[in-house]
Amino acid sequence: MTSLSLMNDLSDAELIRAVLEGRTDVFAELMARHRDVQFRFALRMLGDRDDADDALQSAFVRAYRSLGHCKEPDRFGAWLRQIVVNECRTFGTARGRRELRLVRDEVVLERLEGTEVEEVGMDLELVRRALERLTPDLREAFLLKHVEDHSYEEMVEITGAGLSALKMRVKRACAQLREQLEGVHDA
Amino acid sequence: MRERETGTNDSSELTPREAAFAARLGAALRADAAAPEDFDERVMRTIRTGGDVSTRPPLTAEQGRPWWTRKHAFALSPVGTFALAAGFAGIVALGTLAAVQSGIVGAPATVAEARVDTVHVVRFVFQREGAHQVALVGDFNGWSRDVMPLEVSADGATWTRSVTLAPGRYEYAFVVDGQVWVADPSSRAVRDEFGGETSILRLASNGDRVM
Repeated sequence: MTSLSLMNDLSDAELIRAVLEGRTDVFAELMARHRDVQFRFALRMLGDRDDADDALQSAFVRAYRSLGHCKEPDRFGAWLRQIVVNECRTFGTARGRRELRLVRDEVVLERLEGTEVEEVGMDLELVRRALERLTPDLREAFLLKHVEDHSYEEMVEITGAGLSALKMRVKRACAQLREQLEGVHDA
Repeated sequence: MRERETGTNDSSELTPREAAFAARLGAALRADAAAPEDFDERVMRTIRTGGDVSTRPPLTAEQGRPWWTRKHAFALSPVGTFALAAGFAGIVALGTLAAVQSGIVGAPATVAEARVDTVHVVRFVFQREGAHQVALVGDFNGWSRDVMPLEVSADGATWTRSVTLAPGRYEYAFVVDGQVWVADPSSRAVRDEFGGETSILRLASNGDRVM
């Protein structure tokens, strides 16, 4: 039995303690637990796999560097989400200075071209294009609420925005998305 | 299609239709979004190599102290001790360190030393016949099995590795053939949080090993 074989049984807090005690490689386990859901948010937020990859890589390195400041290690995922959100804002701002572009993900597009996501009856590419047209704060709020399933209380913590502002952003995001995707206009 | 919806008192709350739409959209957007397969490897490589200012290790109480009093590890072949001492002598000439004492002592024990002020060369010795490879892992190298392989003697039974360490307390172990975790039989062992055992090395400021 090796020490490393037991890592799956440890909590995030226990893994964090090990990293802070010098076991750098344990961070890989921590990352493996959280990487895909964080990547999903970054991808939907930035609309580009390379940008999402860069933002998330930067976020994880920052998280590693700041691990000692994670006050609630059992809630590492929420703490990491804050960092990822901030990184996405930074990357989004930088990209905003470049030419505005539509969301493209050639790999997924090739696979999904002309198809709908059967369970939900939506063309994923159209959905992503609609998301891209939202302002970043509306997109961020919608993704956190309805894709990542955060509570509004968590969203307040993650984004630093007020509760009523977040609710309004989600509402407006929904309205704009419906208008784009279903032709529904709220009066 | 055009429609108007009402039915909520709070204008910021979603109507049932909006909520249903948001749920469908959320489900669509949760699909097909896994990180690239090599993502972890790239991040860990960046962290290990400290590629830029944003990739320094976690902040600890150690930081803020002069580098020569912090825990550092440098690759060093056992026969290179004098070369190392000479290298530090050069640094001494620049005024970074004080005095240099050199020489390897105490081969049978785990610890040998070439004293260079607060930096000591520690030789780790591990006896194991039939092993194909042995690695030294410890808090001084991030518990990496890749960075400090031991060198085997001609008879294939004695494995050694020299590491420069500042005075302090360290935990370490040996990993045999990349799989088997073994605490140093010659040192006090403690049970770690992973259920295994690690060995304790205490280095005094004069380079003595404190048992």
